[in-house]
Amino acid sequence: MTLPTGNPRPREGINASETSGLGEFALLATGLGLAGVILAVVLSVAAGLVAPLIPFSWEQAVAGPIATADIPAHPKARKALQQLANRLAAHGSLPPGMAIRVHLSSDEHPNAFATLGGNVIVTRGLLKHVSSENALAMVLAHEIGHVKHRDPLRTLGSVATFQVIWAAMTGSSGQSAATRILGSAGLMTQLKFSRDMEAAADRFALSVLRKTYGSDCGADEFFRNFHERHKQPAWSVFARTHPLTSDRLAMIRKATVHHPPVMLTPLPPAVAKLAKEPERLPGVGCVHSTQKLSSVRQ
Amino acid sequence: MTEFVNLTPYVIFIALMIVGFVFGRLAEKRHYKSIRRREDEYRDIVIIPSRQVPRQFHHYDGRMVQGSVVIAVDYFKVAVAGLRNLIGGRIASFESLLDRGRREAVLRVQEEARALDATMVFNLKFETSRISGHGRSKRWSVEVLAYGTALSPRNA
Repeated sequence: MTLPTGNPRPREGINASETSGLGEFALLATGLGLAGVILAVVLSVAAGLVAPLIPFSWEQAVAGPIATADIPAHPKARKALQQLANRLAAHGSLPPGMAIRVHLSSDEHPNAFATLGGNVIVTRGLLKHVSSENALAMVLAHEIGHVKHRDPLRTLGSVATFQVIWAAMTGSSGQSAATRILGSAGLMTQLKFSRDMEAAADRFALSVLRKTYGSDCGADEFFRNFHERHKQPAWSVFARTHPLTSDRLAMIRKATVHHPPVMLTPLPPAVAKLAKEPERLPGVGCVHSTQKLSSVRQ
Repeated sequence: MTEFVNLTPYVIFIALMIVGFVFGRLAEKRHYKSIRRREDEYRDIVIIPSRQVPRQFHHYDGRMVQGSVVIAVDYFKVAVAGLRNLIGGRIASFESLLDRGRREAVLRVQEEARALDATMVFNLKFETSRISGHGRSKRWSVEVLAYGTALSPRNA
């Protein structure tokens, strides 16, 4: 047997191709992105058609119980919020069987969102941005509007599609991501509603506010406070589904010019206590119960 | 409500992708350059996968030599592989990683063999294992181990 005197030079390009992977990434990202968009569109159109036919109890079953990890122990404030939501729901003529469950999150970022199963989550930070029950009611009614219109169900498919692709890119397998996302659907805070859904929820909220308080005073309060305290940096709001707060403010103001100036209802005591030092910025033409009606300049 | 789409995770993702791509690519190019140079350098230490040592080497000293290397995968490669996982196919970005690992491991075997004044290495074998990150993290490293029997002529 004769043995070689030297190792052969390995042939390149057989076991590993000399590629940066950039082309492959571009191709994969574009292809899957496109497929994802198509799937998301098909799913949301289908969901839009089917959602009204799905019994609300099914939606509740999918959502499951909301994990209480994020919910602070403020039973009184939560109860007050729940009572307010029930009152608003009654004025919003929700279909029978549809119930709103309000949750209070300890998050300091002002936010509120509706998820599957009629769950509405209000952050503690939001409470600091409202000075009256009317303003709080506007936000709650907006979220109730989403529940009534079945928006969480309608956006579930497209959101799940996006999240699977995103999870695959950032390092978990698509399947485990899908299971995780759908397994915790009740806490799905990433639901993004379309502009149309938002506008419809705003209109619903205004009508509920009028029915409940006889005026839409306070409707713009949260947005104005929010707008004044948090100028949104342009880079952070790419692809927003909500109109800019300022646009929205203008829309609400336009819709509310004819309201009679009435007394704003103060926040329920438990909520006010939790909110602490809310900024006193009542809506234009609205009066706080601590002010005199005659002091209003219009 | 959900007033803004929070862009922070996406910005972080893009930054990691750029860092992963730039440094991963640099490291890979440098590594391949070094691999090719050293392969030429150690060309005379012959690697033979056979288990049977031919008769003419029976009086040689046989000693175990091993070379082991751990290579980290970069963020960019993981992202490409993640997308590839959805539809199947060759994961070229990982193939080059393993190719580098195997060749580097062989080079370390040869380096050790030379230190023993060996002229050849018999019965070369490979082992590959994944060294994964903690928990759910998919920041893998891969270990490639090559080992064999170095044959060095007896001096006496």
